[in-house]
Parts: sequence; C-alpha cells; structure tokens
Amino acid sequence: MRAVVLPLAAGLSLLAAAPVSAQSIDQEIATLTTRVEKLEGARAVKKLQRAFGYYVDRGLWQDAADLFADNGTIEIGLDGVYVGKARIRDYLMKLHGGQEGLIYGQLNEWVTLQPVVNIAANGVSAQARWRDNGMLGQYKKHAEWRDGIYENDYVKEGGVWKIKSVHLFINFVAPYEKGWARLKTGEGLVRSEASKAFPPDRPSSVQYKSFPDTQLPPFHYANPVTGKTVSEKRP
Amino acid sequence: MSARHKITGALLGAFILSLVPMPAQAQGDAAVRSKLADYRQRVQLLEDQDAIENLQASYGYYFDKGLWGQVADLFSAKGTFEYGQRGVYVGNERIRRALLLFGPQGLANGYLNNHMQLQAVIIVAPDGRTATARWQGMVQLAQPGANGIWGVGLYENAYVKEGGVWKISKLHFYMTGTTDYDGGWMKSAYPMEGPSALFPPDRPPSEVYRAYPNAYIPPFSFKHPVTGKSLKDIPQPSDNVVGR
Repeated sequence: MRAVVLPLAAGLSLLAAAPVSAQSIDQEIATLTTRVEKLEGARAVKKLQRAFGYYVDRGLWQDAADLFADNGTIEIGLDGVYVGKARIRDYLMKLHGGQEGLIYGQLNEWVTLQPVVNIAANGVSAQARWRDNGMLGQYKKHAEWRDGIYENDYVKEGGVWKIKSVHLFINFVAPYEKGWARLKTGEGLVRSEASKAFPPDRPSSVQYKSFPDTQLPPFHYANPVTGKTVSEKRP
Repeated sequence: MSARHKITGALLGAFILSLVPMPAQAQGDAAVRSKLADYRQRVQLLEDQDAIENLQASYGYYFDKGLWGQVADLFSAKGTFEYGQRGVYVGNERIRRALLLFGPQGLANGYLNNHMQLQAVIIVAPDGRTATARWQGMVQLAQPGANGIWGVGLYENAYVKEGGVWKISKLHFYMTGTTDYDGGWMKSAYPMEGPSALFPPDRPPSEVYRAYPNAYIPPFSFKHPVTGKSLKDIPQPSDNVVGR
C-alpha cells in the first residue's frame, strides 16, 4: 500500500499549485537563459567580425584565419572560395603582397560597419550582413575606396563562436583620384592577381555585377517588419 | 510543502543565487518571481535595442539599393519620413512614392545611393513600446553623368512596437553637409534640396536649418548620459533669415 501511495502523492504534488509554480520558475529560467545566450551570441558575432577586420587591417593573417571554423570559407569579390584555415591564411597573405604584416606605405583599412545579426533559433548558428567601407592603397603609388557588403555565417562550436563563412560582395574598388562616379562598366571589380596565381578551391558562388551596374547582394533575412523575403523586382 | 518540493526549491534557490549576487538568505517563491520579472524586463530591453539596430541597418541596406517598397514597409501606418529640407511625408504609400525622388526603383546604371547607418545611441522607453535613436549617416552618391558626392548627416528617429514588431514611426535625416567629390569639403559645400514640386510633402520641414558650412546642431533625443541634462533645446548658430 505504501509503495502505491508514494508515487501517487508525487503525481498529485505535480498537479498541485505549489509544485506547478516551482516548475514554471524552472521553465522561466530556462527561457531567460536561452534569450540571454542569444543576446550574448549577437555580441560574440559582432566581436568576431570586428576582430577579423582589425587583424586583416594590420596583416595578421594567421590570427584572421584562426577566427574560422575548421571547414570555414572565404570569398571576396571575383576571387572564388577558399576553404579551411590554412588556405584562408595563405590567400589573405598573397592578396596583400605575400608577407607577414603590411609593408611600408601599405594602407589596408577594412572598415566593417552596420551589422544586421540574426542568431538562429537553435542558438548555435548565426548570419550577419555588414557594410564594408575599405580604404586601400600604397604610399606614392595608388589609393582606392572600396564599397561592399558582407553576408557571413557563424557557428558556435564547443561554446565558442567562430566564422563559418565570409563572403564580401564588392560593389566597387575606385581610385581615390577619380572617385566612384567615373568608373566604367567592369572597372570597379576585377579578379585579384593573387587569385589567378593561387587559384581558389571553388569558383565564385555567384554572378557579380559591380558599380556602375546595380549590385544587390541577396539578404539572408526577411524584411524585419513584413517578415517577407526581400525579392523586389529589379529594373 | 513536501520534502521533494523543499529540495527542488532549495536547488532552484541555489541556482538563482549562483546567477545573481544576493544576500545569502532563503528566497521564497515570491521573491524569486519578482527577481525573474525584473530580469525578464531587462532582457527584453536588450532584445529591443538589438531589434532596432537590425531595423535601422536594414533601412540603410534597402535605401542604398533603391528597394523603396521594402523601405516604406519598415514604417508604421502613420510613420513620417523627413530628409533634409524636403519636408515631411506621412504614411507608407506617400513615403514609398517620395523615395522615388532619390532614384528609380532598384536604382539604375550609374546610381550610387549609399546611406550608412552608424554609431547608434538607442534609447528604449521604460514601457518598452517606443524608442528613439540617433545615428551617424555618412553618404556616398552618384548619378549618371554627374560628379560623385560625399555627404554627412545625422538621424534622429523614433520607433514604435506594434504587435511585437518594431517599426519606424519617425525617420528624420538631418543632412548636415554635402560636397563635390573632386572639390572635397574644403572647397565645396552644396545647399540642400527643398520640398519637391513634383511630389510635394504633406507638411513643410519640421525644422529649418542650413547645412555645412553652417554649424546647425540637430537636437538630441537622448539625455546626457552622465549629467542627465536634456540637449533637445540648445542654442543654434544665429541666422538672420530664420530669425534666431
């Protein structure tokens, strides 16, 4: 009899007011924890991408590559897709002259702005759109403005957020002297010499148009008010 | 209270205590619930700030590319759009059409319409239903056959949460300076566009001011974070025509 009553009492206590309240406190804590983890995730993703910019700015290729997951990828402009940390490191290095760090007179500001970060419901993956406003050049030789949009992926592995993919859609690289308004079709974006000499693992994932043509990098997220996919008709 | 419940309560209390520094004393359910309610509100406020950051950044990305329908959809039904001295447009449809003054739908060859959304100061009201934000808005422009243009300006915006979704209730871009790309801001300062004759605004400009080289100070939506002083009503540079 006793053996029967105990489970019954336990069962009843789950239905009674006090235990339900205890259980819902538990649930509330779990829900809040998930929400806080997403807020922290958004900040971790911003930190990651900003760190990438700061490292590339100064030619810290290995540190930049170490921000990626093992199978992480990078795709910049027409250069194609490089896969894995070692390839990413080598590509970044060759893209900037082939040495550790920058060289005398090299300006390489990958200013990374205006994030739209979306953490997935599972809390362990994320996507973000960023604006690229690059100031590039070589003292006494050349200087350029770069305009681009990033659409990047991130993943949380073993509690650590990492970059899964960097994709920089370059709208133009314009000589400072003549500015963007004098660019002719095809001038604003060319495949880098580094990519030709050190071919990517995969070709470009998209067909590019660059300024003065109109370029619209696809959005990873729906319009935040309507919830509808952004797919307006282009002229 | 059953023994089982006491143990569960103690474990929960310990968990809460491990999250939050509190005097080490037994916490009743009511106290825990009250703490949780506080935390829920604080978390909500942070989520609201993130949502507004995404909303305004999206405005920029859509505006850049002439996605006028997407831009207009970000506004609440009675939302207002005001750019420089062009006057105020009210409501999604009026805003959508007014946006065509900035270039064709989806832009076209030779148009550059970059409007950066930077340096946010977002203030969500304590009730979580409205918010304001100030943003830095650098601008890069081009139109076919014309020189490039650099611009600077500030946004002072308001937002409203309707049905759990943040929308723009007021967008006010104070264009504070535009300059010819070749000339640069030492040599060149363009005046602002006035209200359009083709598609006149619903209301005249809510504030009249001159852009660079004049030094107008767009009033601040947020209070000084240290002194708490309002910077809404601040002395402006004297202007004989405006009468101040």
